[in-house]
Amino acid sequence: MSAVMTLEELRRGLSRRKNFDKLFVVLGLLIMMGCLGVLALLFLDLVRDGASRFGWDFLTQFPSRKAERAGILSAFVGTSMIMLVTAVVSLPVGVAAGIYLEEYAPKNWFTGIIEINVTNLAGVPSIVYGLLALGLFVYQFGFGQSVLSAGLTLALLILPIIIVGTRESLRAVPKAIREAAVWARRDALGSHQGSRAAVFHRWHPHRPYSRPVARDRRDGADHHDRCTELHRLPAKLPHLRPVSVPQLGMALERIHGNADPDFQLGVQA
Amino acid sequence: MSATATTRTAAMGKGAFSSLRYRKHRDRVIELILLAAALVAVFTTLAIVFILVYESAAFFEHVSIKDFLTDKQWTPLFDDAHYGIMPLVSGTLTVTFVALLVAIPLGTIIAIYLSEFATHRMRETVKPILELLGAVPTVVYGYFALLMVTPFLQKLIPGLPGFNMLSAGLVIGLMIVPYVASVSEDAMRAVPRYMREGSYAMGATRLQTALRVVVPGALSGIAAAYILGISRAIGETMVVAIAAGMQPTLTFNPTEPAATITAYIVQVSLGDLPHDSIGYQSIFAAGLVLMLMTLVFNLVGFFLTRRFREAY
Repeated sequence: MSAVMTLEELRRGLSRRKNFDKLFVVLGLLIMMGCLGVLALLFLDLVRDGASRFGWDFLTQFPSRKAERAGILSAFVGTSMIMLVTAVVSLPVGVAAGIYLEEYAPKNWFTGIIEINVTNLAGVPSIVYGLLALGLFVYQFGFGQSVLSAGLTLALLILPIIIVGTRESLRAVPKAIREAAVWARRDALGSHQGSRAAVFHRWHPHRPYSRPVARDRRDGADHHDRCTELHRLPAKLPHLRPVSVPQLGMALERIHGNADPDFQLGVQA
Repeated sequence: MSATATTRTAAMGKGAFSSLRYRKHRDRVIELILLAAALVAVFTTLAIVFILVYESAAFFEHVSIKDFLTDKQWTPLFDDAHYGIMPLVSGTLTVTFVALLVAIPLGTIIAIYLSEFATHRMRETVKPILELLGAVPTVVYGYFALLMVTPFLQKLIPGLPGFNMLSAGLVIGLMIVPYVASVSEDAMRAVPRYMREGSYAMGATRLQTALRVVVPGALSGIAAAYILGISRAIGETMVVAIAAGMQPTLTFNPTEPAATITAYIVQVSLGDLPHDSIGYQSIFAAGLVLMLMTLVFNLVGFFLTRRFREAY
């Protein structure tokens, strides 16, 4: 090729390079559709296997030795109660910690330690939280295998996600609004009342995001409940203090073995 | 307290509660409450480390660290007990490796496609759906691996056992594709527009711009996405517990059944082991190893992110 390309060569090169573009678009689309196809397959499979079993009785019956009469009431209530404890503990603490780190914290080594901690906690496998629950809540604190232990552990598990979500939402609030709040003498420090009055009113469009994400991780993370040994499915509604607690994820796992795939739908629902 | 504020407070009379000093004071109290909330994160870390080290210390009174690291068998619940962590580590690494072989290429290509090629509308439709894929409870993925992927693989590879690391790894890989894709895509979109414009002006096509300008520019974020994926794959529990079998085997062959660290912890905590027994303590030792493994990857990721960080 000569040092200066002719127009013809240039065009040929360009169209060749553009062909790679098209190839990549096709590749990208294929892969994406593949992933979405798997998701569809997953749902279709659950619906197909579970549809016949899904109904009011399934939700209101206790687990039974007879597969056709089994329901998920106790597991359903157990999951709901654990979620309640988790929400009550983790939302206030997580949001408060997020506000502190974003609005108050001075830039020093101490804040640095807290921030590194939050980042690291988000990367700790959930089963390690399960070990924490087993060692600390169940035995050291004597909470036993209970909704309380499980709920507290899940609260710790999703805490980093709530903190990060809160901070991102707060960060999205323009500085001008903060300054306006201070200027309007709502608060001379521009922090607490400034935050509450101005920032809070602006952040909620983003805030719901952190909660669903956290909830997803929580509902999926049943391995830690396994560590609190909540695997028995008694035919009674769970209490807050030590009794063994049925939980949806566990229900699915217990059924594994004497195979009743219909349970999967209930857990999905 | 400044003179103005005092005058104002006096002028407000009844409104003393809203005086500047009162509000500053209250702000201080609230700051402390919020600080306490932030410290919960620190205490959680301390508690995790304490519990793991405390119970592992009891474990290592019975088992020497040398046996723990060099013994080729892991049979803590048998009469002839062996405590070599290596079979569990090999299982964990193999499953993680298979998962990454799926997740990294697929996740990166999807991210490049969504960030550089897809229309705005397409991106806004596909991203939430992909994130849904990452939000399916992992138990469901476990049964997906066991009941659908394994039978399919058995047609391709005759003689594949019903429990195997390959199918578990593939499904975990699929599971973490959305995380890798989503985080890398965010990083790529943070690369400023003028860099792309500059590249186009030089005659580069979209793909060339994507691969030679955007990806290098977003490398720190992409590295973070990979590390996130690795951490999730190492820590994944339900899929391996259901689909990979529970038999600790020292092997790196993905078509064999094996147990991972997480699967072992699940297996033991399912049983009714008394809480002072060596079996009970062994899950904390296994947990400690797991924690150290993720810590190493997180540290590597931390330094990679720093090394490749591009400031715009």
